[in-house]
Amino acid sequence: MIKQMKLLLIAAVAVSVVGCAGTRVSRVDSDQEIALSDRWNDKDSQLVAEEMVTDMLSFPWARDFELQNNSRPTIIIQRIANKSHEHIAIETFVNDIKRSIIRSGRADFVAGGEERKAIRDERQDQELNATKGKEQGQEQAADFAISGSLNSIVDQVGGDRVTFYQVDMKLIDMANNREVWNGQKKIKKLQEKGGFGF
Amino acid sequence: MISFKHALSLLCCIFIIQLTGCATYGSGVDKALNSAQKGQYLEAEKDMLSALAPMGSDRLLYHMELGVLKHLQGQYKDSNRLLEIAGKIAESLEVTSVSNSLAAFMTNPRNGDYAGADFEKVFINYYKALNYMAISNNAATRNARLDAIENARIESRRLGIRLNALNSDKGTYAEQKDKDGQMFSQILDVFSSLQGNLIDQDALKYRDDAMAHYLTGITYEANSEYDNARISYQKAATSYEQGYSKQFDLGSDMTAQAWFDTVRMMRKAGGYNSEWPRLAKKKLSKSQRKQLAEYDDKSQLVVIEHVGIVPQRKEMNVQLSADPRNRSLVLRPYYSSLKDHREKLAWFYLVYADKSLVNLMIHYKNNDFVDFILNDFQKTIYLAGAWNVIAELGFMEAIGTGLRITVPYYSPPKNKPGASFARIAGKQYNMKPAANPATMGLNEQILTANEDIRLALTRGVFKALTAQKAAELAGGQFGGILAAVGKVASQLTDAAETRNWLMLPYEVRITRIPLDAGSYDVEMNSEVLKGKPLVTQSQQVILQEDELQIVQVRSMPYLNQAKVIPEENKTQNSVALIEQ
Repeated sequence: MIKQMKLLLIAAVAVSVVGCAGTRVSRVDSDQEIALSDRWNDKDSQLVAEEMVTDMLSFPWARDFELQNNSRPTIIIQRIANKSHEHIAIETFVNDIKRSIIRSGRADFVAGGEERKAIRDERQDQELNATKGKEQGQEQAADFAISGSLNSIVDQVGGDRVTFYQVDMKLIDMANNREVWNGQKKIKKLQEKGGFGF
Repeated sequence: MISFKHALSLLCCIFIIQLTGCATYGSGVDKALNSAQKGQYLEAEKDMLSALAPMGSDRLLYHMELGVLKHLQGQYKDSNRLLEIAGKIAESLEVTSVSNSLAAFMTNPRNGDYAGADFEKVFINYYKALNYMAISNNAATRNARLDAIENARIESRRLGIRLNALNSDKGTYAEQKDKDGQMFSQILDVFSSLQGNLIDQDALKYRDDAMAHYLTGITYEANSEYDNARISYQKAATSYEQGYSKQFDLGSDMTAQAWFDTVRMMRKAGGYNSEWPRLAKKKLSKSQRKQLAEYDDKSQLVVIEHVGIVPQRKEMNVQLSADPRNRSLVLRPYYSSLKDHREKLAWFYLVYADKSLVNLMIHYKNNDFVDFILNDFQKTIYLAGAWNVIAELGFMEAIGTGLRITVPYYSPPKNKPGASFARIAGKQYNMKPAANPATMGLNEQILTANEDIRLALTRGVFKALTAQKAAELAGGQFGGILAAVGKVASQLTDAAETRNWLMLPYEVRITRIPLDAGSYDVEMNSEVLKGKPLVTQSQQVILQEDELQIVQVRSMPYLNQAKVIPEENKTQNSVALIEQ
């Protein structure tokens, strides 16, 4: 009987233990792709940035500008519209692109949008309250403007889903509206859900 | 050998355990709920504090219930502190604790940690986002306002991550629709019906939250992120359209509203010149297309009404007996003369009772078919080969003529809220049903009903067998007493899992109004209990140029009996609730 009692207790513990699993966190290389779903991820962002920078710098716009003006061109980032079906941090690959271009030494960036407004406010404040405050109206104009969009198409049948992302970007010459570069990167993902859940 | 004195002490202990163990969660916090329903939120908070503890198995509920009560008092920062802790507790409880499940297994599920349902976890982020939006309304400086909106955006992103995980785990409405259309699924449904399964489990699963998407759209819009706002509104529209509205009986108003806001965001963001007219033609009515221009260069008021409180889970007693002839266990609801007996029977029939042709044939074979049909419902669990194992363990002796086990259930909703409307600047705006936490709870309970009864059975059998074996070990005349005492103890200490987040609203409603900057009186009229007089509250709001402001109203059934002025807003410009 004692044996049976012990068996009962062991069974109870066993029932409780079933399904238990701890949480484990480990560090992984930031370049390693861990695709848990077909959604846009950090690897997609990185691939788009690399592709766009390589392509953009292979066009002659920066060299031509430098030859004509004897100085590096400046670029402003206009709007990169997220027209896809997912929330995507567009800033991450835009920042990757900016960093790569600055590092290449071929062009510089000037602040735009909210960032420019905040700096103007700060400058105005310094003009009133700080010594050696910078004057208003001395900003460097942008020679080129980058704009673009991210689009997606989703096709799904049963557990299978194909997600297609397309990033389009272009560089416009601010002086004459000429489109001096146009880049495109496509990413296609297939997600197959195994099993048949009832 | 155990003395008579010891046996008596044991009996007393059992009664003490019974006293502490058998009340439902709802009855424990009933005083707080009553105060809250009168709008006496400070009183409710005090009552809640005395009913729940910040540590122990109900710690998640403590933080969630108080989080809402602080929110209702306008103490948004305190509310967020509590809800932040609640979020962390809920996350930690997603991993089962051995000691916790063992305690719950050996005694009753209410001794185990309450981990929260999926929809409740979504409401943690939902309330936090609302709190931050309210903080932004009351912010003293521009930076404080922007910080609060940014924090609301963070909660929106958290909501998005949680909803993505839900979609991946349970499939989207679109996937479900697709699956329903497949021939194999249709054949399966036919066989399922033949088996007497009245409930389509897939139709009840909480797989997405259209209203949460809609709220994230509002926070992105307030943060001037129009692309993200468009994506969230579109996700909300798709979710409402593909199943959420039908699942929670919300009608089609919010589907239309979410598509309207999707198109509106496309117009506002720019760059969709060819896309938005196409979508407007496809999804918007003629009058909605006309309304689009009314939002140009206007401020907006989004009124969110939380109506009533969710129903409580109750407890039902079920008799467990053995049927050696059919090598099965039989469950029947205990007859009670109480007024809720019929609803208990209805619940038992809906989720448990044998309804399959196979079961009817067995009753026919046993010549108890007529008795089965006319007298009561029962659930039969065929053990087949497993019967010998439990018989060998002394199961028959342990349960004797029968054993009481308990399972949770919901009463059919009796006090459904009626319609409500907001009156602003002389115009009346109907509030649109956007979410229904009451139905979410009910669906969740139906889905977990079989798991509940399986655990209750295991618990009951385990406790009865343990008591029986202990009595056999003691032996002698007191062995018999111990066996009886043990059996009584196992029955008295059993209790069902009746916990749920009770300060959640019965229903959430939304309306959206374009207005010029200025000061407005927002009057909310709500039939909180259908057929009862309207509950009327009013708030004053000041809208700035190009501002999107959220006005939050909690309509409680007995607000007329109390005056409510949220603490933080007493000195602010925006809120002053007045009783009818």
